Amino acid sequence: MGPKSIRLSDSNDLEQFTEDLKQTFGSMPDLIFRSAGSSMIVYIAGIVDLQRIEREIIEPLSTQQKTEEVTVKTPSIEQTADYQKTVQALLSGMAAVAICGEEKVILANVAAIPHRNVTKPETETVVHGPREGFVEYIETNIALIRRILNSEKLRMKKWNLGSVTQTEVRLAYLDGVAPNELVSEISNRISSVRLKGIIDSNYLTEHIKDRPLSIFPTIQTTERPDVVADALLKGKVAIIVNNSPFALILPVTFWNDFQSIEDYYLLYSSATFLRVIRAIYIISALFLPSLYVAITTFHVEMIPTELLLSIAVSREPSPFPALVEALIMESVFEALREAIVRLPNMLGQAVSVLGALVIGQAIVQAGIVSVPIIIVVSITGIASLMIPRYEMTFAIRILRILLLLLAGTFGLFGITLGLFFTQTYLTGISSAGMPYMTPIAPVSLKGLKDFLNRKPFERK
Amino acid sequence: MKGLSSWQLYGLMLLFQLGTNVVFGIASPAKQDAWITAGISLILGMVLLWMYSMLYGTHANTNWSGLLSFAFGRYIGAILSVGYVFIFIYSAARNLRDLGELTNNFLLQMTPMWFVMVIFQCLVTYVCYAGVQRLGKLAELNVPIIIFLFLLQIILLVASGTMRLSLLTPVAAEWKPIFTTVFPASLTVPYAEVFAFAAFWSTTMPPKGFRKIAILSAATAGLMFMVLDILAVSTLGPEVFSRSFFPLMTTFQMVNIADFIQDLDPFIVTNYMTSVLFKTSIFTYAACAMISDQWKMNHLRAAVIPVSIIVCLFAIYMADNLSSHLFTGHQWAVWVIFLPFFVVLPMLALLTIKLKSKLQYSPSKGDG
Repeated sequence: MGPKSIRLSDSNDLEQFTEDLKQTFGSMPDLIFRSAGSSMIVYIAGIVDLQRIEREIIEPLSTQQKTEEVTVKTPSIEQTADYQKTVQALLSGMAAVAICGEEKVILANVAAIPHRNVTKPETETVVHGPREGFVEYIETNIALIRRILNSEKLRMKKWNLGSVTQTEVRLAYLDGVAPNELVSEISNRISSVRLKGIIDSNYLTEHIKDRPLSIFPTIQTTERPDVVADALLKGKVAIIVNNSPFALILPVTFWNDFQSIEDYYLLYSSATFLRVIRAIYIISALFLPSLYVAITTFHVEMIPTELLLSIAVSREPSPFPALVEALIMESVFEALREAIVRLPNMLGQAVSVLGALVIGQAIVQAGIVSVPIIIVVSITGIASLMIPRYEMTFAIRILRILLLLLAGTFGLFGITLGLFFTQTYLTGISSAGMPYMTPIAPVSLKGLKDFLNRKPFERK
Repeated sequence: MKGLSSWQLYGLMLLFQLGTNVVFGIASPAKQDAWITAGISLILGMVLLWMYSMLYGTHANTNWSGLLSFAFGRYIGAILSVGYVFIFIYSAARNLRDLGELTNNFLLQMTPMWFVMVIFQCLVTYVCYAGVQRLGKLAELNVPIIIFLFLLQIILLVASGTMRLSLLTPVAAEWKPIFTTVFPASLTVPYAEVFAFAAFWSTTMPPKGFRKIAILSAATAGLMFMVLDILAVSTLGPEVFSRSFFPLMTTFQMVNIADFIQDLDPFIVTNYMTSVLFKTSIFTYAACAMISDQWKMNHLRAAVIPVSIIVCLFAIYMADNLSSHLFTGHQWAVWVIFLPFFVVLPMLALLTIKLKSKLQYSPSKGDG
């Protein structure tokens, strides 16, 4: 693929260089060659700023005398004689200036790659606090982080990963705050990634996770620059991938997934209150359907008589056992959830009408499922929406179904069994070397200060 | 720094000692003086644990199978090691059977007991496979829950207003049942059983820390037993208390708050499952550790599955019904297994090792 180095001693060589490029790019129509004076300018249309090329390169070149040193007015330039590097530079939006009689080309950065403007984050909304989210363009994302972390200690390492896509990946950390072993460990993991293409940060997640097949998210994804900055301040590292508005943070603990960044934007008392409420509902998101099934199927004696009577009355028309009812409702709820994510915006009304009417009322009136299970599944649904991290909701939802099946077959015994299997599994996984259940197992008193309670900020 | 933190070992030992006693109660034959019995056996138990830690202190990097060959020579040591493997397997099986009986009685009347036990042993296998470090972490996760539930049970029971402290009198009218219950039953279960840790103690903590933690955890467990005994006797009365299969279970069935919170036995059994999980896992793990030490295996994981299968078979075929199972436990196992293997032999070993180290500088070859 083309020569190794570039030779431009006379006009024949210039001709050869043009031919080589045309060969390499397969006579791509947006590869543009323009000559100005004795030099030639190459760039790819669409990802460069044409006005800048006109003003900063062509104008000075055409007014220059032969004897003068060739100069272009672009602030960011570099010189190279490497052919492959020139090709890469062209692809990333640079213009190559080839001058007859020189042994190298000038690469001028006039990139104007189209990207979205900074908008509100869609997945992690807060009532109080910053409202900027990451975009798909890595330069913007890093600028957003730099604006918060105004420190020379903010360091970055850079890779271009993906044998085809050459996606830019950066590892950000605070020097002196993040442990060196962590940085080198993560660097090693990133360096060992072998992929054809990286479209989103999740491509990396599955490669650098401690246990790639675990259903628990041991890497946090976020689209908020303030979350990244907060994590960096706590000595974690962040991975920012070009083309993805989601940065990766690690290490992360199991409990981190139930804490929201907003906890730090509220008064400590409000935040603690919120965390307790969240904990209660997340526990019910996991257990409520299985407890209901276990108790109504196996341990009826636990229910107070009057409550038992009213449950029995409302369950009377339904032909299915509690487990089947619960599974039907769970699957309908999951289907609604997925449909609402996928549907075109203008159909939203239709789905909510269908959902509320058909599932809320008709299914009961038809005697297919009973009212209590609808209440249980609705509370569970609301509760699972309270989990601050989207990734974690999946782990909880999958576990919920498994526990439901265990509860339907073994009652409370099954739930306890499932719980212990999960616990044992959780004690064994780690995130970038940090045990996933810290600060509970292993206990760390320092970690417990900011666990279910949000400790007040330190005063000096 | 060895494998476990002190909090992890504490949790592990506490849950181990709570074990089945959370439902069976401790020292129920002593009737209204059960709590005194619990107190006395706690003190004796702490002495016993002190002795274990001294034994551990003689060779801080050696587990029980190594100590056995130090004390009694290679061949007798090896034979005794094999004996201990079976003792640990039997103890694990007893606990598994306890769980099976209880589940059959209170949770799943229709499910065959062997099936419950096999499934539970699968969990135990997984836990043992994970190893002692993760077992410690698991204990850390569960100790707060168990202590919370313990307090909750007490509050609920007291709030139900079924307790009459007058049932505790006369206090210590007869000392004979107190002492016959202390020795051997209440001493061996649960304190002497802590000897299971000897099979892998060099992977837990250094001897000094081990001693402190063992005694601290015994104290916690002993105090909990005393509280539970007082609650049970003052709720049920001494007669029912001493005759019931599951005195504490019966006690908590009395919980009734405003006709709304009642019949908590499924939750008690769930609570109990936690401590039995730890007890069965530690016994199973101890058996595997003995095997891997004795035959110098690289990793004890290879032993876990065969041992688990034997535990299951023992548990299924060890008794015909609950009465015979409990009878064997209270009358036979205590004298034949727990006392000689968990109390007498360790004492002998300690004496021999101490004597040998005294005689070290006057070499007399062939005495080992």
